[in-house]
Amino acid sequence: MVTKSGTQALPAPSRGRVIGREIWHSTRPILFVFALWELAGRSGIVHQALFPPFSTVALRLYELGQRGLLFVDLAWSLYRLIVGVALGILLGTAFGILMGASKKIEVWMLPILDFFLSIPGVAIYPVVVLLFGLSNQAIIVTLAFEAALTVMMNTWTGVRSVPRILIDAARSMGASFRTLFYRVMLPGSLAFIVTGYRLAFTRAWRILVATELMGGLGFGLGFRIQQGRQFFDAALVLAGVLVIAIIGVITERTLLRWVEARTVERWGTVT
Amino acid sequence: MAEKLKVVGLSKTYLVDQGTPYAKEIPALENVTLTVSSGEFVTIIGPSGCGKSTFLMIVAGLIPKTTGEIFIDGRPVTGPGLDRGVVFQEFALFPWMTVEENICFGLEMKGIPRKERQEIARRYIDLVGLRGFEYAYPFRLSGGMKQRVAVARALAYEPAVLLMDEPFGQLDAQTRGQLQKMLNDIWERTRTTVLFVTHNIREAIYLADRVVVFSERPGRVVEEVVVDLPRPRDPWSERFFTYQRKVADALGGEQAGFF
Repeated sequence: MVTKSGTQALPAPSRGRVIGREIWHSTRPILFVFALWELAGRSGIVHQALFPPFSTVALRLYELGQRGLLFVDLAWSLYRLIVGVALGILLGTAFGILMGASKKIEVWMLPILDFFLSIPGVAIYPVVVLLFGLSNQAIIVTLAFEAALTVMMNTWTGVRSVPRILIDAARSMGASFRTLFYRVMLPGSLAFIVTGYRLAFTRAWRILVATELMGGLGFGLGFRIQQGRQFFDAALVLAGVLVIAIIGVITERTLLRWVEARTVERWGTVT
Repeated sequence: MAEKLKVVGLSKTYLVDQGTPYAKEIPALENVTLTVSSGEFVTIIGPSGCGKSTFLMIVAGLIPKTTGEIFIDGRPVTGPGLDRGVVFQEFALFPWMTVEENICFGLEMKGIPRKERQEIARRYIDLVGLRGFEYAYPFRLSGGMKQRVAVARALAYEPAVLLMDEPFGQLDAQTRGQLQKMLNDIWERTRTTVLFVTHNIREAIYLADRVVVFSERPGRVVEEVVVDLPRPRDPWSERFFTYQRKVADALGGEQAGFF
């Protein structure tokens, strides 16, 4: 269509089509990988019992779903993840803000934070097991520890990134420390804080699976993979890995997106 | 007229590189004494780095002083407070609050009930000519509009003294002129006591009842020029130019870069 001014008017695609295209563009390469997997599995380079093709794994996954076992494992894993990360977020946010708001606290906490951050979360797990035994609590404590450190680091950075001038502006209007905290420091560092939460979830997710692989807890995606290995059930191992990947992608893509859309994106504090 | 703001013998010395062998004291302000009457518009002008902004921030209570006394209505100033309204060069609007919420913030600190807050905010939004932008977030506004909001925010809780730190310094020439005009209009209507820092001679004369000239660092008061011109001032009149020359001379004239 040519408009009066001579410019070409592009037909506006509907919102649904745009979203549909985005989903197609991000799943297409994954489907390609699955196709390669199918071919590799069927080619016979590796015995099918060791490396079954995608279709076999998908079928095994369907079976697990039918028996309900898949959902029990998933529920246990997510329960540990959510409780652990929630604890970590509570502690990490509080300490992170304190650290960012007070130079005295920062001087004391920063070296300690650096020290603990250099320890991989999985390496903490054996220590925690000594204290809590092979239990749900041990996993939750490990996740909370890792999440708290991650959130603390990000929150601290966020609070320090709040422009001095905004704190001065609030102080000039007689704001108390409490008001500064809730009305200036918290919203001012929200972009960093939300990023910290998301990072905490992804890190905790990795550690969760690793700890489940180690411990004989009876349920959980990691445990199921370990069981599959012990019973020489390659399809079960790969099915577990597949579920872990899917859950990981979904949480990373959707988690806290709504918070950002309603806050930092509306305020224009992130681009 | 009654004394509104009184500053006596104010000095400020900065300590730099504390705890290193290079530690030294830098005097920023030296024995500044200044009185602003109730309803007076005073501008402070001085060369860059003379401590005029430091002076204003000390009066605002945001920077600690080294020696000297500050009084508002006879009461000594010890920290920041609602008896002073501050407008910053960098606008300093809270990005997470709408125009209206920004203006309501000071009113809330003052303890004014919600409903009343909104009414007052609306009135000041009208005053600075931003009707229709009540619910806009600051990042959607131009520089001039942002500073209008900041002026409204500082005026809304009716401080005894309005402190303005080069408020129009970041704006383009035309927007700057528009805001100078607006501020003059508002001042003529409200007769608020204003202490206004600038490095622009024409701006200083256009707005002020009295121009206080600071020396180079450490800042001292070197001259006070009372501007006796009817408002609104005609910036192209001969008398305006005479004042301009007078202030420029006090600042060191053409040799110092003022022309």
